[in-house]
Amino acid sequence: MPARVTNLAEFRARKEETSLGDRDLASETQRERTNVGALREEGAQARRAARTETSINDEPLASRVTAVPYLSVVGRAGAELRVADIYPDLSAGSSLAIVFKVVPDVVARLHLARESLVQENLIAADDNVCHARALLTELFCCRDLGDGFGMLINGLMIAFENRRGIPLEATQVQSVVSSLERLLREPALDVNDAADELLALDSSGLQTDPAELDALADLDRGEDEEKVTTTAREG
Amino acid sequence: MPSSFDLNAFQLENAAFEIRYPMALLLWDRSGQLWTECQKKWPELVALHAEPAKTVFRANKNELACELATARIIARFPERPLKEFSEQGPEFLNMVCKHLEVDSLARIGLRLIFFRAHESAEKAAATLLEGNLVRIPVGQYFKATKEPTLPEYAIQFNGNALQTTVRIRAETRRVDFDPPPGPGFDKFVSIHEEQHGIVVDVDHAAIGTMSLKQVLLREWLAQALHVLRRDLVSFLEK
Repeated sequence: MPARVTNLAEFRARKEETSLGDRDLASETQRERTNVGALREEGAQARRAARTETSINDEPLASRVTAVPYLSVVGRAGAELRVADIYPDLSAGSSLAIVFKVVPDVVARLHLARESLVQENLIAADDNVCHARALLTELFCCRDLGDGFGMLINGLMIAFENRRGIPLEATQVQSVVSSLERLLREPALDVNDAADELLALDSSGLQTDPAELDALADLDRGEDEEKVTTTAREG
Repeated sequence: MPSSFDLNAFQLENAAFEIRYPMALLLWDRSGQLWTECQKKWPELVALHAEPAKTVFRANKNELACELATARIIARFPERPLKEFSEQGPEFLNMVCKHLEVDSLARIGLRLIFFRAHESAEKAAATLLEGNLVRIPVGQYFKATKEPTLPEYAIQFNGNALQTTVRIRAETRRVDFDPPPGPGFDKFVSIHEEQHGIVVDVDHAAIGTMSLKQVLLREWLAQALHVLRRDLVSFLEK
């Protein structure tokens, strides 16, 4: 398992290593991700089935008012909760409410885009991606939810920007969907998790750093090389 | 005619925001780090209680407490709309989770206690009974010769993970204070008085295993306050 990054500089260094240094490693990571994704999907299906069972059992209780104050009928020990169950009112006008309203819309658009790509309807696919991108700007306004959330949304916005109008490929659409679905599951994800998601997006061929940053890095690299040459000459 | 349970006429005596988590033994190692960070953030911090398994400090009007499996902030007689409490609470609890390396929660709860004074215990009881929250039988029961007193109701609303318990009761409180004998205390006077009134005590909580990555405490608290303000009023004033 790769070591956890603790700051942005480390993250960039690790990202550069992954994307430029070793392409095999990148494809290996992608394969691992696919395997992990399949396992997660199996787990999620099992959990969904369990939840359906629980919610059916809970249905009469949800609408019942119990007049025995000390009897707890909710939150059974060990029961893992869904985000939607935890929060008192996701319909209120808070940032999280916006996330829960907008992210499913973006995901739905991206699913449509992926279907269109499968049917080789590039125009429809691009149209849906453009809609998804427009909706992302609403999430950009919710970055106060947390550093991890802000970092991931920032990265997604930049990834779209860096495409410069070139339509997304099916694998890229899928990796964006995975990231957004994670935001729905874990809206309070930390910077390390966001970094992992950005690495996964990069592995699918998206570029989540501003293009200007690469130009600056090249400039910096050029200056370093010049210094080395000068020192060697003087030596 | 305004309802007997117009919450604006009640004083908010107590607001508590609490998280519960699996036993965090790191409390024994990191307590100092936690409170040092709190002190940097809130320099007015005053220690109230310190023992290995529980530390309590006060920052302005708020009481901050950290225990092995619980952490909470309590505001006594807070000013509405609870701005300071809403900012300091999640910030403190997030610090606790960070220092104690808490990665899952078992419960998040908000408890508000309101009080409205009445002239006598009988008047408080009568006001509460007027609300017709339960049917009081007409006639003599249990050989009682006077009107019933000290009524208390409790009701619980359950959702998938959310649970709200509302307790309403008529209450008589006795305050007995005698200043200790000794120099400097001669200016203080003894207080012996009774206070009668109605207490509305509401506890709203999410119960179950929650990953910290799912929980935004600031959002949760803001939503809980919104829901209690909205539903408590409509529930009580019906």
